Amino acid sequence: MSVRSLFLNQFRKQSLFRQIRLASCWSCGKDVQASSALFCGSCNALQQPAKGDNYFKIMGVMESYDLDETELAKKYKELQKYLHPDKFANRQQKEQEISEKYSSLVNEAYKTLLEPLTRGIYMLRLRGKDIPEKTEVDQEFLMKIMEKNEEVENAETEKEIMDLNEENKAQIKSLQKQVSKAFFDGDMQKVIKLLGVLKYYTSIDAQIQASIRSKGIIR
Amino acid sequence: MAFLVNNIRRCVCLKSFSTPNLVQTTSYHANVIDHYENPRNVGSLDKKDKNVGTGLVGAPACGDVMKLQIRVDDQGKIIDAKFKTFGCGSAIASSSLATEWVKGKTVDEALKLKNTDIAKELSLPPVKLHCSMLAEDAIKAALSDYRIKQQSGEKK
Repeated sequence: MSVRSLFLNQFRKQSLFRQIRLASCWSCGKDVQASSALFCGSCNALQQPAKGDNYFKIMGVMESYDLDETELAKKYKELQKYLHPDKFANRQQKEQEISEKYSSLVNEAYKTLLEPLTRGIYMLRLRGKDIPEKTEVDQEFLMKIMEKNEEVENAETEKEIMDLNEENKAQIKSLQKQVSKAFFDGDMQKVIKLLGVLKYYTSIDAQIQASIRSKGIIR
Repeated sequence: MAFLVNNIRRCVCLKSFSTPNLVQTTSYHANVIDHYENPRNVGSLDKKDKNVGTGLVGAPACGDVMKLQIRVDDQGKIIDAKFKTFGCGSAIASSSLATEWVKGKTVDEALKLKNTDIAKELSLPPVKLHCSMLAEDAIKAALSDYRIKQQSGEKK
């Protein structure tokens, strides 16, 4: 990257920052003090979500693969306490619309960040990468996945299915740790590879959970 | 297979959640549902049989795995085909249809089978095209496995 483009980037960032800082309330026209404020300080109108904010920013959590899921859930509930359309039934229509839009954006952000797989893919996309759609042909690996799927399909007793559940959860957890490390190392190729593997085990997990439900197992 | 029916809505293929805030209302085409609820040719053939070709493929973006096997007679005609797929409705329907179509074809004819034909027959939406692609790759892998087996058989 040339010095010039570096400078321009920096400049753009700064001007963007200024724009956000000086964002004025759509309702009363006064400046909103902080870009992160949900409501206007003067007229108390609900503000639009800041453009260009990623899901981490929207949720107000640190941008990291190892995010604290309890913290995320707490933030989610807190945000929805203020944003939920039910709270705006008696407000002006524009505010109702913003609340609907904002609230569903928060839902989407929460859902995406909560699951380790979707969180990983989202972070990958923030870095301009994606899991390729090409077909996997690693026979040994596919055999393993096929067999695991068949084991789940054929599991009859509660013990069998719960054992598989435990084993699969441990597998997912171990993959999660590896993904986290790969993100930390900035090794995106590895992240892509690992998330692909994680996707197969997440699919198996979905099968296991469906089987647990259909068998009426209560935990 | 019954429990798979519960999964029909669960295939969160990675493509589809790039459109946030959109309620997904896309429903499956009748042909997909037919193949999904009454899949044809589910099962396995003997992998070690030299007249059997096995194709095992997967989609890392979906977490789907697909096994497709063909049995070829001495005239080079595919006389039987079986599949086993763990994945979404479209992937199951694509592989089910693929086994139906390759049966009775010669090896060379089967090679010409295109994913676009499968997608057209099942009216797959763009986000599901890769499911039919997976079925095509599975056929190709099975045919290639069969060829390799035959060639190594001749050498002996």
